[in-house]
Parts: sequence; structure tokens; C-alpha cells
Amino acid sequence: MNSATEHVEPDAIEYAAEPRVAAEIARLSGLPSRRLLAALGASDENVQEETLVHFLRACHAAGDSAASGEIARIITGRIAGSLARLARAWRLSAPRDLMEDVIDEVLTDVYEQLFDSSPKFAFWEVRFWVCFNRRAINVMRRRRGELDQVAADEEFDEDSEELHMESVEPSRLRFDEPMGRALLADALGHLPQEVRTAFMLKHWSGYVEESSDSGETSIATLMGVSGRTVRNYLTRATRDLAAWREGTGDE
Amino acid sequence: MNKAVAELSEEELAAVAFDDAVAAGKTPQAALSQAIADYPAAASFLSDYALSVIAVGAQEASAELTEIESVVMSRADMLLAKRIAPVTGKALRAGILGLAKQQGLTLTALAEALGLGRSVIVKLDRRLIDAATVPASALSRIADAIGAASSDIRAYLALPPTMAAGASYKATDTPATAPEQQAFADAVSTALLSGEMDDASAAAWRK
Repeated sequence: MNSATEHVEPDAIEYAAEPRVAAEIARLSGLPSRRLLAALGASDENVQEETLVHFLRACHAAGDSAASGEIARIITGRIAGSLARLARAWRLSAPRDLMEDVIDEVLTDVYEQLFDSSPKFAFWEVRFWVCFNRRAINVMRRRRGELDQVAADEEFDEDSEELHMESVEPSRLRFDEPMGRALLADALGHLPQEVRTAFMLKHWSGYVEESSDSGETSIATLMGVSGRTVRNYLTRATRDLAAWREGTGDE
Repeated sequence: MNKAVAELSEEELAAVAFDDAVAAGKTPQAALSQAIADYPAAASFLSDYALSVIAVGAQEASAELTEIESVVMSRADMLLAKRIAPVTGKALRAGILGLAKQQGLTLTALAEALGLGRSVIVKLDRRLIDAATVPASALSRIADAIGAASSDIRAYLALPPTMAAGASYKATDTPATAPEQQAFADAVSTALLSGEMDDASAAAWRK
């Protein structure tokens, strides 16, 4: 993957499609529309998503909207599993109205970019999953954030008193194992964004909460808040995770 | 297109860095630390990105996920139908029976040609069958028989249920009380029970 990038000028990078994608495009180009669609949709072909985007745009540019629509549907089938899991992990899969609204927002955003051949969306043909995940995750973050906003504003004001809770030993979470990761992912779906970020930076990446050394990167500097606020975030994370693990969370 | 010149945002660059580090064999924790070190302004996004990747990978198939995925496909059909509606006017106006007629096929002739119950075809024409439940292979057979593209027929089916196509001029209007839709397999089963189809045909259409 790293070899796919080549520096061109300070602010622009030229990205080359993976060799497999280039080979698929060369092999399938020139096929009649019906045969092309059959090949793109065949499970045994397992055509790369970047290849699908290329032909969706080619069909769209040629005015064959029926074919581009069918390819968009094939792509949707590829992302449906991830989108469903993201919605569930972010606790946006219920109630039904909320779930449909979130799914519509992600799909609308994705389709707008897939059907747009302008250079600013060219990266979809190079790194499909990075593009999809970024769009989908940002929708999830914003929607989850809107739901959590009131509680976060009330509890984590810079002037609020520092909370004091007994710390949970991070290693007990065991998120280096599959079960631990599943628990962690579910649990973190219950934390507001700032709390979630502080927790991940502390227990995943090992950053210190704050530092008097200006050369040392801390959670406080990364998040642009005080050390006290960071500690409050971490206390809240500890409290909510403990409650969740004991089955006494708010759900 | 084999190459793209793009000015990517900090988030996109950070996500690429994380994915590349994981692909190179680093643990998600190490990949996250490295990506944050390279793109500190994207630290918050990156931690959620990493978390989401883990959350997606940690969830095994379940009935709940299958249900959400079916909602994704249904919503996609609806959104794509709107997007490609200008070029599916022919299908939208004529409906399935109308397109069959243009091919010189009556309802009975179409049913016999396809080996599909007449009631199923009528339900499809009136969009009384949930588009998301129609298998791609079934859609392709029907589209071939009436000289249409599968995507056109799917777009037609994705619109709200309505009266018979000829009786409903504005196909995008939803009736005040929308008729209930059923699954394609259930419609085939009903046709089997009523003697419109034999076991072999029903089994073939339900695949």
C-alpha cells in the first residue's frame, strides 16, 4: 500500500491504483454493458471496490444511468455489512427512524461522491475503504455527538469540579483479545466523544494526561483542554465502563 | 483511471497511515500511536476511526445485523430510484405489464414464458412485493423477458406500492393508505398453493 503513493508537489500527492485494480479495469473495459454488469456482480469474480467505482463513473459519464445505478447497487451490497455494524456499534440502529435517517445520510453522501468524477473525489478509485469509512464514521460521530451533547456540556465544563473515582486497572479490560475488543467497542459506544478520545489516547496510545515539558505531547495538548478536564474525561470513562461492565449502564 | 492526483485532508491522510500500518502488520494500538504521531491534529478522528474498525471486525453475523443490512439495501433502492429516475421513465410509466405488452406478451404469456405465477407478476407490477426481497437472478430473468434492464425494474419496484401502473399516473405518489408489501418468496409460495405454479418452478424462483 505504501508503495502506491508518490510525492509530486508539496500539497498534492499522486496516487496509483493497486495493480489488481488496474488489471481488472484493463480486462473488463470494452465489454458490452450487460456482460460488464454480469462480471461486476458475479461473486466468483470478486471485483475490487475501486474497480466498481471506476466503471460506475464510466457508465455515468457515458449516459448509461441504468448501468451506473446497477453498479451503485452492487457497491451498496459490499458496504451494507460494514454500515450495519457501524450503526450498531455507534448505537444508531434504534429506533428505526433514527437508523433509516443515518443510513440515508451516509448513502446519500456516498452516492454524491461516487457519481462525481471530479478530481476531488478521485481517491475513491484508489482507496475505497478509507473514503467510505471516513464518510460513514464522520456521520456516526456527528449523530452520536448530537445525542450526547447535552450531557457532555453539563458535565465537562472547564470550571466544573474535578471528579474523583477509583481507577480501573486498564489491563483488566484485556482489549488485546477478541472478546475484550468486542466489549471495548460496545462499551465505547456509550461514551461521549471527548471521553472516548481521552480514553483511547490514554489506554490505547499511552499518552500522559498532561506534561510540564513543552516538548512532550500529552492528551491535554492533543485535545486542546486542561489536564483537569482530561482527568475528568478519564474518570467519566472509568465510571461508565465499570457501570456498563456490571450491567448497570443506562441501557 | 489508474492514477489520481488529490489534495487529501488531514483526516484522509491519517486514515491512510493507520490502514497502511495495520496492513503492514502493526497492531491497531501501534498503528494508532504512529498515525497520531504523524497527524496529531486528527487525533480525535483517528481514535474513533481505529475504534470503528475494531467494532466492525468484532461483530459476528446476527439476525439484528441482517435486518439492518436489509434496511440499507431498501434505502439504497429508494435513493437510487430517485437518482436514476430520469432515465427509467419508460419503466416507471409502463410498469412491468406495460413493458411486457410492448414485447407482445400478455400476462398469461409472460407467466408461461417465465414459469412464474400470474399473481406474482401482478404483485410485482403493482409493487406489492418488497424490492429488497427479490433475488438478483429473478430480477434478471424478468427484465430479460420484457426487454428491460434489471436496474430499471429494481428502480420501479423500489417505488412505493400503488395501484396498477396504468391506473396510477404519478408513480412517485404514495397512496394515503399504502398497500402492504410481502416478500417475493412468500408471493411465490402463495402462487404455489393456489396452483399457479408447480413445485419445481417455485423452488427455482425462490433460489
